[in-house]
Amino acid sequence: MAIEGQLRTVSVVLLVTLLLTGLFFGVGYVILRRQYTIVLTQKQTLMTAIGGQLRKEGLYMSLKDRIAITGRVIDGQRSWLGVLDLIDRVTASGKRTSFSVTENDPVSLTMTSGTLEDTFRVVERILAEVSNKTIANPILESVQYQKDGTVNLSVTFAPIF
Amino acid sequence: MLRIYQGFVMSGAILLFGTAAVFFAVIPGIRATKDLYDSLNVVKKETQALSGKLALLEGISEEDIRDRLIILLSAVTPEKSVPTIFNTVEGLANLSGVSIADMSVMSPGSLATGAASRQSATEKKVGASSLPFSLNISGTYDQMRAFVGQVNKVRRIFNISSFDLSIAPSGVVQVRLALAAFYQPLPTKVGSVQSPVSPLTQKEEAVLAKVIQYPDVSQATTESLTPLLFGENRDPFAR
Repeated sequence: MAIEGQLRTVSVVLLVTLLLTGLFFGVGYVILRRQYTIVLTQKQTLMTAIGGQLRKEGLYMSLKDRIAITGRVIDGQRSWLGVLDLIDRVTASGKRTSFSVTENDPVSLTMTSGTLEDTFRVVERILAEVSNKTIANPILESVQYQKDGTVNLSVTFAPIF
Repeated sequence: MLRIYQGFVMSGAILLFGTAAVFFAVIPGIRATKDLYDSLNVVKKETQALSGKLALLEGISEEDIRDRLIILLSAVTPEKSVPTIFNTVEGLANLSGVSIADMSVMSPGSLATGAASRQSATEKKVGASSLPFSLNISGTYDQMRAFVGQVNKVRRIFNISSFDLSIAPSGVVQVRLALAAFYQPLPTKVGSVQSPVSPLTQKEEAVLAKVIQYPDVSQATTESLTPLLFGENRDPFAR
């Protein structure tokens, strides 16, 4: 009889638990369903409103896209004026005859100095620029001492941007 | 005998029914409620994003976007636009005082977008096609410096890839420059309605401000933007 009583209690507890759980989740489901429908309607309304702004959205996306492209192009531009300033600093009193600057290659500079001392000063200035980390890998390509006392100097170096 | 077990039968039946109800009704019910809750959260987030997108779109004037876009389209044109290159170089020469000896656009190809042509690694990095051209100019050293200094700061954006300079005994400087102009067709489609739209970042605003500051030394006019829409096709630039 005691076992029967316990079994009855357990079954009643189970029934009550089932009822309460079902009620809790049933009510919860109905509330959530209603919220879901409301939010879905809001979403639909917003999507319709955004669809009406299609032209503006297209222009705006194009603007963003073009800004990104333009930004990358500008970032890729190098300050060649800085390289010219560097060449001016290196040559100083010397007379430049030619130089060639390429994006990925070193600067090739040919210049004429009045005296041998001036040529040495050019080399000193190049070394000073190396110390300042504005020039890398300077190479003396040729030095020609002319009959009139002038010196033709040819150097290459990599400007550091 | 039956009377003895009658209580057990009733309780057992209730227990069996209860167990079956747990597996066939309660657990699926909980699962359905949880799924609905998750879906609700997703839709809420989407709605929030859409609300933000709509607020952003409503907060900016179409005219303002159009004006800014026209400026940017004169910097990186939608087509090769060779005349604007010539006009800009001519304008630059006038500003700096150098004389243009010759100018040639390398393999201009199709006069339109050239969209089918294969892009180089640099072009892919930039996200636009480049149109290389070379230029021979002459003048004084200061004029040449002014030209080189200005060439990166005009509305039609150029990039110098190399230059060779030689100074004659008379002091006349001759420079051969290799440059590139950039072009990229406008996107023909916008994303779906739900695709996010973010406001302009500080960096983007800075790029825009920089380009607006650059003088437009070209005399060419930019084609007016009149995007048209056809039915369901989300192509704001379809013609």
